[in-house]
Amino acid sequence: MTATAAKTERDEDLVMAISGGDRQALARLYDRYAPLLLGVGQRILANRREAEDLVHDVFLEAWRQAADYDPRRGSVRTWLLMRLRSRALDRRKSAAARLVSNEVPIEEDREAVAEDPSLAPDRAGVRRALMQLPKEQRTVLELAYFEGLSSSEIAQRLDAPIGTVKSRVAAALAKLRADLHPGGA
Amino acid sequence: MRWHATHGAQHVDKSLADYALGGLAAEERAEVEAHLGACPRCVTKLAATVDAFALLAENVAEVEPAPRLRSRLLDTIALEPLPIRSAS
Repeated sequence: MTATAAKTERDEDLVMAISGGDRQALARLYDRYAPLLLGVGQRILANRREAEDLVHDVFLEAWRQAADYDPRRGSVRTWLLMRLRSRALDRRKSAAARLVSNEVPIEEDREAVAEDPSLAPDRAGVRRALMQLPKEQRTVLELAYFEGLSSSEIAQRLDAPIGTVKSRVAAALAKLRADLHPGGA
Repeated sequence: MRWHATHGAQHVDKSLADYALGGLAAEERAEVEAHLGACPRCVTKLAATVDAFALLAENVAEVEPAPRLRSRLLDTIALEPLPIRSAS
């Protein structure tokens, strides 16, 4: 495998190859996404060892269930992230049940991300769009995504009407899409 | 409020964000899934919603995994049976 070939290979093709039993394709998907998944896993769980176990499980699941991937329902990146997120939140919930007072702090890693010179331009653009969201919109997205709270739970947490929470989530998602895909649907 | 042209079912825009993140109770989730099965428009909207949520991950610093994590995964996969292809 050449570096060029690896770069031009589309995620969807890798998943297709995996569903046909290509172990090398899984290794390449891992190389592409493991750092992202490990970062997000650590953000949700605040524990590196547990996040590593999760990343392992997510790729094992991807191996077993590659044939279930449906591109109409989102990108491969999203497919992997959603699996990781849901498993991470399950772990977090069972850990919280064991230790009721355990509050996982939200990591303040944004500055570190901003200063990373290796950031790809599109990634920097996404980050900029996120930071341009009104704070109350970004907050509801983060509570939903990283803490797994439903709209009604966010409404309780923020002491705001559920309709307001749903509108903020919808407005934030629409703004992100508009900023990142101007002229798009 | 718009209605589905052929099935008379209401579009589920307002539930898509919670659905995408697994935040719906079983009953409402089943309703959304039933609608998605019959409405390509809402499936497209769902895909846009989950992809937009996934952008939040871009704000998180990547963490380089230790090489042993990769070997552990590949060792596990080597012992796994080949994935089962869905009927095509």
